[in-house]
Amino acid sequence: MNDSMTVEERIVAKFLEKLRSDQSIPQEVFARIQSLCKEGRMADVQAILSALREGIRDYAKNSTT
Amino acid sequence: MPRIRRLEIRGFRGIRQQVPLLLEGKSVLLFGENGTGKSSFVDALEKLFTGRVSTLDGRAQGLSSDQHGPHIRDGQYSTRIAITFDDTSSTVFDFRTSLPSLPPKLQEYIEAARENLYILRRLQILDFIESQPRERYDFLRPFLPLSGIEAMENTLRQALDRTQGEAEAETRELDRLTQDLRRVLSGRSLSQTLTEHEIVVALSQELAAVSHPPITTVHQLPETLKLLTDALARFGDLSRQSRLTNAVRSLEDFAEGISRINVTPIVTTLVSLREKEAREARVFYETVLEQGIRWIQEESRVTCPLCEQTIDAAGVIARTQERLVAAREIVNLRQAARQALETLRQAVRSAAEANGRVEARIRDLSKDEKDSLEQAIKSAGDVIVSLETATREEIRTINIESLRTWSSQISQGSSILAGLSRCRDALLGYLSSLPSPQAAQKLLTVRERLERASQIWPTISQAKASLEEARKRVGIAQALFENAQAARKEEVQSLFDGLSKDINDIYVRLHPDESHGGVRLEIREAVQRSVNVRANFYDRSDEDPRAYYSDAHLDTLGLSIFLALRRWYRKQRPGFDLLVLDDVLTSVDTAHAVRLSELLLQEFKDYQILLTTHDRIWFEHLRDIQARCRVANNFINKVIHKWSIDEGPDIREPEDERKEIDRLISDGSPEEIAVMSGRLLEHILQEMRYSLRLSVQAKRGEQYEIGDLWPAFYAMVKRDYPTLYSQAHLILDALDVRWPVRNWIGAHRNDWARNVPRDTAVDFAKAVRDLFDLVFCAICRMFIVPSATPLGQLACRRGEKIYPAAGKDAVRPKTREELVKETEGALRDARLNTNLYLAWKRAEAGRER
Repeated sequence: MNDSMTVEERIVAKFLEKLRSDQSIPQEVFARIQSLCKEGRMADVQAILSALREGIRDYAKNSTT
Repeated sequence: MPRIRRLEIRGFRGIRQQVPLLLEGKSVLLFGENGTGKSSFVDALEKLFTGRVSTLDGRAQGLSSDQHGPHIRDGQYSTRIAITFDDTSSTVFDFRTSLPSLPPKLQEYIEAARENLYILRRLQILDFIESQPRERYDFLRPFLPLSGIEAMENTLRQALDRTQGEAEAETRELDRLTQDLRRVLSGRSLSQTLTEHEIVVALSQELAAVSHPPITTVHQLPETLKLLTDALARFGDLSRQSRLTNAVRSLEDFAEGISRINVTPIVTTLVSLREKEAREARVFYETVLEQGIRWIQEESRVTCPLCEQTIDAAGVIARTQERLVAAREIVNLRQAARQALETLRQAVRSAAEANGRVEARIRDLSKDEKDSLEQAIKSAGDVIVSLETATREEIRTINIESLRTWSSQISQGSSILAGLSRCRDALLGYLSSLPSPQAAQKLLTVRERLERASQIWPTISQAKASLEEARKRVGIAQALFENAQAARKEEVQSLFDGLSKDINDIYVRLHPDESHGGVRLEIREAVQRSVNVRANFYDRSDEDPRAYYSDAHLDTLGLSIFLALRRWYRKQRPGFDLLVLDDVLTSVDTAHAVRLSELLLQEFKDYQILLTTHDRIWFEHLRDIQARCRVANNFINKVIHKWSIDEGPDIREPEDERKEIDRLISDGSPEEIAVMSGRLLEHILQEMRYSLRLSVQAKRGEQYEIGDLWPAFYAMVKRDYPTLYSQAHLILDALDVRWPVRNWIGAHRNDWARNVPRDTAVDFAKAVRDLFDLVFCAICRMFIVPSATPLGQLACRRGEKIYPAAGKDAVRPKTREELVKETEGALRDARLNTNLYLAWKRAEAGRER
């Protein structure tokens, strides 16, 4: 985190930092949420639900292969 | 960075005629006694930028800047407030200016100015400290640009709610399928969760009853079903028997499905809910209206909470709690209704599925057999379809009467159930007429059960997998939401910690060597979006400062909070540097006010400050401190000489008045000459009143005129400053005779004075002009003042104009460097140390006496 970031950018960065270290969140879900943050789509509930579904599905696939 | 060059006001608050306040991109220290229109400049700035005036709009019912802002002797159409910026185009901004038409830097400036986080008035110093925690958060809200984060949090909350809803739906579906399988295997011992092993054991027991080998896995079911069919074939053509048996079982299923439809819970809950909602809405509006009428009628008793007056807190809390209980009951009822509706929907769906199966089975029967059944089954099916339609509605639109009607048609003893019962009896009649060995019957039953189990079990497995995935989604959605909340709280608290440090630094600088400080803003954990203020006081730490701090300490704490916030806001809006402090220095004692002034002039020297004060001594102190802090060149010090309802504040510079006199001497009327000369003389005398400490008879409102001041001035110059008198005696003696000219023709317009010759007015003007030239230094742009040493000498600050003490040589006032050297550094140290500075000022005052 650097000083030139706005308050909101710092909160989003901290949020992602927390998600990255949260063991309960699969990498596949984290990657999708990270993309949504970058695209500024975190106010889109459908996008978040899709990220959850697809992330969990991919996680299941990856963990069985 | 844009700065204000000129503020021009007409017809607003205490300013009627157009008055320009020239800032020239610098800070302004504006002195004016009470009621001379200082705050009008501040109000005008706020009105222009924000459309509001905090001391009017929202302060009390009935007050507004639209209604009370315009000057009382003009309509609102004459109001004009305009700012000229110091950019290369000297851009003018007024009410008609559209933001997009401005250069980008000015747009940024105006947008920041609209937030109104740069004006502090004496009245508002304690606002933040005295607020409720939630109001404090709202106050800080403009400093926290968090709308995007709040939207993100809300969305994550919605996502969590949706995933929870999905998981609940999956749970219900699994329950429904489990119940179906339980019915198929009724009589067998099964656990709540139904494992594959239990199913295998239960089905093996069924198979054992017909002497068939057990199964070890559900995958063996298709093969086992085939073996059972082969075994049945040995009993000859059993197809009719099988069709009739299937039809009987499906009819029984259908009848049982119908009997499980129970609309009573949903109807009872909906009736309670709607009654409660209607009652609550009625109570709410009645309360509001009754209260509103009472407030209006009793306005004179000032009991309205909207006006921030005293209220019956206990009563209001009790009523609010009653409302909350009612609201919670509604929430609970809605939840219960949703559950009841979902249960009903499931029962109806199961019955509809059973209906489908019956219809399929009936189609397999012969024409004679099915003719007697079809009408009864169709009637029952129609009711189920109607119920399905009725239960598709949302809680708030569902028709209770329809539910009651349809459910009465399928209640116990209804014609529909009786019809289905008759159908079953008819089918059993056909079956009993067939030659049927007992063993074949048993085999048929077992095969039917295995068939149903083989259909339901895969669906249950799928439902279990879906539920597990839905629960995973809930867990992750919960983690997303909680992490977002925690990130916001931590970051905002860390911002508050930084802000607290800044507040504390400012506060401690104002109160060195005092055992308090440790000011801290903290987010309340239990309550979303609310802020506490905490501070230390001797042995007590982390206390509400209002518990122990004196009023003056609370004032400086309020100022510290405002200044820290202003600095914080500057970091977010670096292109906006305006800071307005309206008479805020008066509530603290001298030492603290000196420290505060130093802090302002040093720490906020890169701001354009508009600082007003009604205290003449403070005005002089601040001018000294400007020089000490070496920011004198950044400041313009203005004096409002007087104010009147028609002319407003008089802030004209004396040099401009002198130039105007020259012009009027050549082509002005006697009245004009007398007015302008009188004004300049009044200006000179006001300055001399302070610098020479003239003794005059006290006058209410400090509105001294020439007649009040002249005799004291004339006598003192004659007595105490002979050098000046010797140079100016002709002028002074002439003025001693002529000053009333100003009143004769310049103020009161006496009829008898119409014949006063123009030459008399011109002589008066010349005398005033010459006196001005003697007492005003055009180089320093200041009036002469008594020198610290020697006593009896008058001089300007730089020593360009000196009237020596009687019998002594002229002594040029010392430069700062000379004083530092002479005092062996004490002056330099004094610049850095408030206490030394105050000691030095006291010593200087003593020497002067």
